[in-house]
Amino acid sequence: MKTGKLSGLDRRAAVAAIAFAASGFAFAQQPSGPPIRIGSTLALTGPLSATAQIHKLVGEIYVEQLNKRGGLLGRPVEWVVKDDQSKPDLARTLYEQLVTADKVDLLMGPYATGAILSAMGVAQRYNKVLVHHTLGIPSLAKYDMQFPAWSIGSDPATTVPNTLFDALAASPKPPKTVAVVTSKFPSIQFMSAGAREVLKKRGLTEVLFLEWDFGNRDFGPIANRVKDAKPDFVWVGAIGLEGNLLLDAMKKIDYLPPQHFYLYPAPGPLLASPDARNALSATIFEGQPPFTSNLGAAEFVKIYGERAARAGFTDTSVETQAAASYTAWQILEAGVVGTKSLDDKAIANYLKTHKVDTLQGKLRFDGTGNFGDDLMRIKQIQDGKWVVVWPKEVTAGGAKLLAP
Amino acid sequence: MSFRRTPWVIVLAGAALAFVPQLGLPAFYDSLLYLMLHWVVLATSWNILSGYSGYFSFGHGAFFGAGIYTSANLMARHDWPFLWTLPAAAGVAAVLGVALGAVVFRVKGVRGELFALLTLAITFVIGTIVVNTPLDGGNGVSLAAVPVPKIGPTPSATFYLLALAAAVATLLIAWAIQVSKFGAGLFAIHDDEDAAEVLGVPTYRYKLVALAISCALAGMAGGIHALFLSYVTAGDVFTITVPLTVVLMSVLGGTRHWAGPAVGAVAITGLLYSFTAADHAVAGKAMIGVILIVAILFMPDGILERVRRLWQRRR
Amino acid sequence: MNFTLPSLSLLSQSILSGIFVGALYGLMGLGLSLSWGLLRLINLAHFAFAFLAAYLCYQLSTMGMDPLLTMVVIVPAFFALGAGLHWVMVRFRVMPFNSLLLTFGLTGIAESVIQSIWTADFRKLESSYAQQKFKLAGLFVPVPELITLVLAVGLTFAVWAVLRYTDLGRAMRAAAQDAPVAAAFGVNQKALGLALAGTCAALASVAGVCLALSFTLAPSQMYAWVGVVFAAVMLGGLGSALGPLVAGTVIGISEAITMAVTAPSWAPIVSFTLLIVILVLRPGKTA
Repeated sequence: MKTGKLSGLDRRAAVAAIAFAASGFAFAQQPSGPPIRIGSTLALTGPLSATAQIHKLVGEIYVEQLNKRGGLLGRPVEWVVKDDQSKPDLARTLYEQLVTADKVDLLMGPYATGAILSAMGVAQRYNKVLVHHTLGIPSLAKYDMQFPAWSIGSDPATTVPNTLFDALAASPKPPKTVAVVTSKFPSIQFMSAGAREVLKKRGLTEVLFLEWDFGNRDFGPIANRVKDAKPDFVWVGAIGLEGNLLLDAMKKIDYLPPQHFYLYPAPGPLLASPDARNALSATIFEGQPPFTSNLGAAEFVKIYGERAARAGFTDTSVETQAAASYTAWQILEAGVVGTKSLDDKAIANYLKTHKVDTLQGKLRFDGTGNFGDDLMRIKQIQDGKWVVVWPKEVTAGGAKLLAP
Repeated sequence: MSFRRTPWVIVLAGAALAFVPQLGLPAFYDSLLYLMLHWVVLATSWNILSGYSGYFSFGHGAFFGAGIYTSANLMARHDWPFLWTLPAAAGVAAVLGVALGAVVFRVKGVRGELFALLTLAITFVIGTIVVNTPLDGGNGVSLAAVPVPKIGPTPSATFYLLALAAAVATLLIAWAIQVSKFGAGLFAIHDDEDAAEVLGVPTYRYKLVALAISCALAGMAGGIHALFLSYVTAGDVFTITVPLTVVLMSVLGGTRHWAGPAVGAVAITGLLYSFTAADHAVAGKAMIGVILIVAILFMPDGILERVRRLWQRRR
Repeated sequence: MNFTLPSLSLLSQSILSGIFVGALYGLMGLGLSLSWGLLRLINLAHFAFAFLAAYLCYQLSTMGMDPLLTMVVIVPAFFALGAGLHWVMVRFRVMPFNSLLLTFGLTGIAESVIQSIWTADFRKLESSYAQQKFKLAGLFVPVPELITLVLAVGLTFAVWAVLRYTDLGRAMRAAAQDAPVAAAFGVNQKALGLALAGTCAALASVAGVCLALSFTLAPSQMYAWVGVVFAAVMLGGLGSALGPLVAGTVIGISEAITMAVTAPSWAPIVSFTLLIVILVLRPGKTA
């Protein structure tokens, strides 16, 4: 008499039945039908291509994973990406081609502020929702149906410096004097201006303020002036390689600032520089706990690491650029799945009224310009690796801001 | 007698092309054609000074940029309606050009490469001034809130029609100069300026007028382009890209003929667009290089010349 | 603009920095100037050569070769490349402005090649030289920049001396000034042209090695140098050997001084306004 437990034969049959059902289920997961086409441009050639190649890889990884999971609404997803050659006027025209000629179903944002603003104009004209991942100037995002994946909040010029100075104030040696040196690149300049306001409000003294032309090659005189000013802390409003160039120039005159912060450095080079010890920067994601317990994070960090190495990238870690890109795709998917449709207006409404679970945690889009919280954290180069040091709740293993 | 037909051909072609937006093609084609016509204006206006007179200018970007920023600032800061900013843009660019020319053309030794350097330097000077003053200030100028006038069925069509009008005007002016005494004087300056002076050509005045016209047209193209971009940054505008591109287009098409630069502009813009699919992005750049090289090796006087000679051989 | 009075050490260190970057402008401009002035060819591909050489230097160094030693391999290779390019130009009788178009095409091809081999990523050569510097009269002198300066000055004077004092140099200048007459005097134009073109490319490759030593490389960085190097070349006078170095140094120093005393973002205006003023006041006398 069976006592409620399955006998051997029945158990094997049950397992077989489950396996059969599972395989049938797996077959059902294969997306089928006409593909859903998502269109975007990226700066695959030209000055912006060094960073845009990250976004291309992330998009490819995401779409592959998506199709393995059954696509969107049961249909396979196809990513139509074009090269805007780092030119905003080309980006604008190509987005118009994607919408009016190629007639893609959905749009994804391009790389960098200039191209995003161009694309936004097109999206606005045709009422398409636009999720983007690298817009540096929130105040310019005036379109109702655009959504940022880079969570810098609607007023990053105030909030990011405040986070930074909070971190410094809680460290063993809070700085008293600050040098602000910055590039005049649009998405950097207003942030540095904000930093100056914030430091004044917090009672710190600004001992030097310098701006350089984006494209400047000779950082010697600037390094000299920083050294002369003897600041406790240097805010370097740098994008791309400028931070490295400044560090190199400072090293050549035997000077290293006691504490230094770089706003948007190119991912790899700063880590590789031996003089960037203890340099600070800001990030929305790093491949370490607790970030890796967010949705999709652990698996993505692993896959990205492998694929980036195969593609020959010098830096294979996931940080702000790759994370923002992945988040953008997650947001778009959430919108489609949440509304079970490809209707742009419905997706936009859904995103404005729901929180979306992503690589960065739960995001909301109900603030000014559809921006939510400022999720920029402070990280520091410690022993040749980026370690998140502030705020405390996102640090791991007792990581702390190291002071000189 | 044949050359009196030309202006009519240009105007009629323009009128015919004005109906393109009505064809109901996807708006993308309007934008693509806008870009081609935009470069036609820039290349042809460059050629009026540099191709005809031989005073090779590397500074077209400065005048184009002056036009862009004049328009952008008037629209964003002073709420001027878009169309009214265009004559202002043309005017500012022309004044800038004439101011530069008035000083520079007086100096006897400034010919050839020196003029090229001066005009290149002007580009960086104006760019630096723009970036460091409230004209741009480093943050760029956003025109997202400026309404596009309803000249065509869609905004893209509007830009297309404006550029078409500008291109027709530019081509007419370029043709008119070529067949006039003024143009003959410019070509004489190109071939031998001292001899031209001896023959009574008012070289100083002619060069100044050519420069003014060239800059005004570039400024106007800039004004239109400002709204097309809807976000303008100094770093994108005041570079060597625009001057280099117009030189390439003019040389490819042929610099001694009013229509040469237009041919080059259409060819190069078309070429750039054929290679935007992602899979060939990097290889595409190489292909463009190869095609340019082959073109110039086999058509050293420009595409137009080659085509004309083939045409004449057929007759 | 507000001005701050800098300390003497800041000013002199900044000027030194300006001299170093000016030397690189001069080194990059040397080959371009010779090619434009003596061969009547505007060689945009000069920058492509420099960057290709820079990337090759980077590659060979990461495979273990000393960066300076890579010149032994790179310089002859580029001499051959330059001569080959010139042969093609002569064969097709390419005129000055057409050469601009042709070499622009070549530059695009070179950029694609670089990007497909080394990706668009930033590449920095970490050499033993990069870490070294020494102090001279209270000023810091970093070794890579010093190498650039020495090479720039050395090669400039070498070229100048050859052009001025040797038969070869005189023949080249004669051919550039009046080809038929020179030919009548037995000057072998073809061979000279090839040799000169090869030399220009070789000079570009040396500039490339210096670039690799001091700067981070990216494929599209080529275009960032075009404006200022053209300016140095044109200011120095086409075909002049000393010109690019002097002009480059003037540009470098004027920008450095500006950056030391006032807002660095105004630097380009000072150097280029200086250029304009010099050209307008004394157009004949440049460098």
